Amino acid sequence: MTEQAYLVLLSLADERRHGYGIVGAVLELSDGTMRLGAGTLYGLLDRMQHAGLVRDDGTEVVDGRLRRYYCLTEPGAAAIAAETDRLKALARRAQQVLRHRPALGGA
Amino acid sequence: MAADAASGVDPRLARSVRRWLRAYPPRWRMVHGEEVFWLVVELAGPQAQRVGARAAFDLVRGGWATRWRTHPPLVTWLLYRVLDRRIPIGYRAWAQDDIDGVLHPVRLMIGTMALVVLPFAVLTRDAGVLWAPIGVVAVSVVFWPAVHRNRDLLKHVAPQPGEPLREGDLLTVEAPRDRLAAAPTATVLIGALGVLVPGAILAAALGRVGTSFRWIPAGFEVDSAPVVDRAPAFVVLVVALLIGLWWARRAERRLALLLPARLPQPHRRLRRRPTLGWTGPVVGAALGLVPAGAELLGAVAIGPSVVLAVAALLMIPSAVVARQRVRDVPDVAATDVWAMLLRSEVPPVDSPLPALRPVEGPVPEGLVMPDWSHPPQAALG
Repeated sequence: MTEQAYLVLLSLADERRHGYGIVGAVLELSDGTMRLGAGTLYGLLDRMQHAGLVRDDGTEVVDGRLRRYYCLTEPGAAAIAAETDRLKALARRAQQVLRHRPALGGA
Repeated sequence: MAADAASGVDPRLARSVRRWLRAYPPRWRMVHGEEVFWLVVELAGPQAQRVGARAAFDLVRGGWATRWRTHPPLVTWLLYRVLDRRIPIGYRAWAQDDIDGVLHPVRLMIGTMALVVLPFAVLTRDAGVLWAPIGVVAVSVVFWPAVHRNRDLLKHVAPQPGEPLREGDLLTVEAPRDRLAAAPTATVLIGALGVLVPGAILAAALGRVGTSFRWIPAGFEVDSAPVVDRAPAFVVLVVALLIGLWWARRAERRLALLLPARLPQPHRRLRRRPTLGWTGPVVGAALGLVPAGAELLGAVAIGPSVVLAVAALLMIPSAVVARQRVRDVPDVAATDVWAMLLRSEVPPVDSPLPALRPVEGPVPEGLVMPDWSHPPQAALG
């Protein structure tokens, strides 16, 4: 799973969001480093929908602007949990490695 | 768009976004077009007048990736394009875009050529003789694209018997048949044929090259030579006019007899002009004048223009009579007059044309496409 895909799934973990909401949440989750474009976001959403990780949760018109909401499915939630565990384990292993390299400033 | 203006979006930005969104296939835009439009507008910011280079690149990349992702695999595509095999259900939306596309006739042509010309050319190293059938296909796909579109949509996109029906699926319905009204068609025909006659008269009077004809032991020989006698051309034209006038009298009698006997046409829609306008007859008349021009310039011997004018003189009087007769009868089609004059019969009743319409409204769960070729027993009883 790419970092972009991970962050998009993570942005949907707590609530359903529309496209602009996902872009904002990903920007926040990535600490301002990842600003998704519309083409990239919808490419990811298409593939995730096809894989059954997210689903269309209906449309709303706000101020004359159409918004389609997306939410996480059960397999999507499982995938994000598994990826988070993998990243946690990776971070733990990274810390262990770094602890043996005090010269590099490992905590 | 009115919605853009109502929501306070700069029309220049709206145009720019919609232009870049064209990178996505139409089927995708139908579902996601509006939401992505608003996302791009919001990401562009309130002062933006056009999509920035980075966002535009992102949309183009995303659009083409979507096209590539939803395109059928090579073998499926080749079977569909070249052998016209029915596309699998998962690629129907792709096929609908393909068939609805402006370039569909061209793609059909390429498919046909790949099937017919390439193997033949490879085997014989000469594809010259195949240009005639390809020309026929080319003319038909260019001038009657709707016929091919309907057929292809019916084959590749419409649900097959036994498949579940969903909203928006294409179903065959009976549609009225378009026919050209007789009176305007006769007017245009008279005009288009009419220009050929003065062309031929001028060519016959002023053309410099004639035809010499002489017997030789093995038969006869026809050759080009300076004109000595212009009379035969005029005699031919006068004879054609006399035959045309005689036909017109016969046409008058037939129309008087058969017009009142015509039947109601419930499956017909009369048009005052063809779909493409009157371009065809105008171009035809212009092309018909080419021989006369060539004869006047001395490039060819007097003859072809006279032949065309003979055909025109045979038909024009009948067309004039028909126009007089049908001018006040608005429900007569050109094809009816054709049937009455040539076959001397009451015009047949048009059968309805199969057409495709999307299923409207929510479709009840479990409804499947019926198999019309095997109607249920109850219906037969």
